[in-house]
Amino acid sequence: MQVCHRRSMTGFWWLGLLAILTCTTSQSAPALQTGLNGTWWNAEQDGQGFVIHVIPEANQVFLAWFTFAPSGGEQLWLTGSGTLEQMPVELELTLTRGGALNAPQPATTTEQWGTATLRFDTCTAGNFSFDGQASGSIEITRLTPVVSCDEGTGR
Amino acid sequence: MNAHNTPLLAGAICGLASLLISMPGPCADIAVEIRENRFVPEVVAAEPGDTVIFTVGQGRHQIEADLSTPITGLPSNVLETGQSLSLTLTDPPGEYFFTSAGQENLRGAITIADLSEPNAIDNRISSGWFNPQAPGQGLLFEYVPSTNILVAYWFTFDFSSGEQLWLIGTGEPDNDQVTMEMLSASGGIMNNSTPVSKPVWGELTVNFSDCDNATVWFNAANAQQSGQVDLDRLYLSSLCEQE
Repeated sequence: MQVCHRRSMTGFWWLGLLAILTCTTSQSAPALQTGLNGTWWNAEQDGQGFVIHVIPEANQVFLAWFTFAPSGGEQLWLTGSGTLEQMPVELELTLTRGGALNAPQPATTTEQWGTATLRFDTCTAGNFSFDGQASGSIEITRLTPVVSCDEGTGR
Repeated sequence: MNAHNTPLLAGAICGLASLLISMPGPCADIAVEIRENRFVPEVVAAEPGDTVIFTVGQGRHQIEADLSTPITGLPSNVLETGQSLSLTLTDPPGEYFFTSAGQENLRGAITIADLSEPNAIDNRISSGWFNPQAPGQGLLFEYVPSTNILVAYWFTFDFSSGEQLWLIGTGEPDNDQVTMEMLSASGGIMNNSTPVSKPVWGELTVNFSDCDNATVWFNAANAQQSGQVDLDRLYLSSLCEQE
C-alpha cells in the first residue's frame, strides 16, 4: 500500500487534488503473473464467467468467456488473447464456430467478435470491458481461491 | 475373447496391486442388472481386478463394448433372462462404455480407477488442453488445492447442430484420474443476472498420464454419445518443471 501526502498549501489546492488523483491512479495493481490464473466471475451473474491464463513464456494472456448470446438463450463462448505488455490488457475476442464435438470435421471457422480490456486491481478483483457485437463492462472477482499471487508489484 | 479366461490374470493384478500400493481391500464383485431399457447402475465405479457381474433381469442381451473403448472380455454371448456374465477388469485405468447389441439406447460405463503412484493432478495441470486432431475447441483445467477439486471447462460444439457448447464439471481426483458430472448451463443472457439452469449433460473422466498428456472419456447420456479425447497441453509447460 502506498502512502500519499496531501499538500496543504491553500494557494496550491489543485496540487493537492492532483496528488490525491495521482496517488489513487498509481496505487499499484498486481503484476501480470500466473498467480492470477483461474476462474473469474461476477457473483451477480451466476452461470457465466471467465477462465484467465497469464502465459509469461508466450508473453500472452488467454481468456475464455463462458456466457450466452447477448439476446439470451443460446450458449456462447468466446476466446480472447492479448499480450502482457500493458495493463489493462488489450484483448481481441474471437468467435469460433462450425465444429462438431471432438471431431476434425467440419473444420471450425473464426471471426473477430470484438475487443476487450482486462484490468486487475488486486489479485482477486478486476474489470472486463468489451466492445463488439455487444458492449459492456463487468466487475469481476476471482471465484476459486488464490494459490499464490503477489499484490501490488505491477504498474 | 471370453471374460471367463481372465480372472486368474486379474487376480494376480489385484493381488499385486494390494501388495504394492496398499489397495483398500480385496477385489470386489460389482453387480449390474440389465433391465429392458437400462443398466442399473449405469455407471460402475471399479478398481483394477474387480469383477462386474451382469445379470439379465429382463429380455435377452448381448453386452458389447463401444467401439471407442474396447473392453477385454466383451462381447458376451447372448444372455437370456436370469443368466449372468462375470467380467473381471484387466484393462488399464480409464472409462469404458458398453451397450446391449442392437439397442443403442441401452448404455452404461465402467470407470477403472487409477491406483498408480499419483503424479499429475496438482497446480501444474492448470492450463489449456486440446486434441490436435480436432482444433478450434478444447478443455481448460484448474486444480483447486484448498478443496482438492479439479474444475474442467470444455468449450466445444454440439454433436450434430454445430452450435457452440460449453460445459463445466468438478470432481475430486483419485490419483491421476477424476470422474465428474458435466453441466451445460442454459437460459442466460450475456452480462446479465438472469437465472441460469444447469442441467446435467453427461459425465466425463479424465486421466493425466503425465504433465503434458491426458485422456478424456465422455458419456453424454441424453445425446447417447460417448467417446475418447486424447489431449495435449497447450501452454504453461514451465509449470511442469516445478517439482
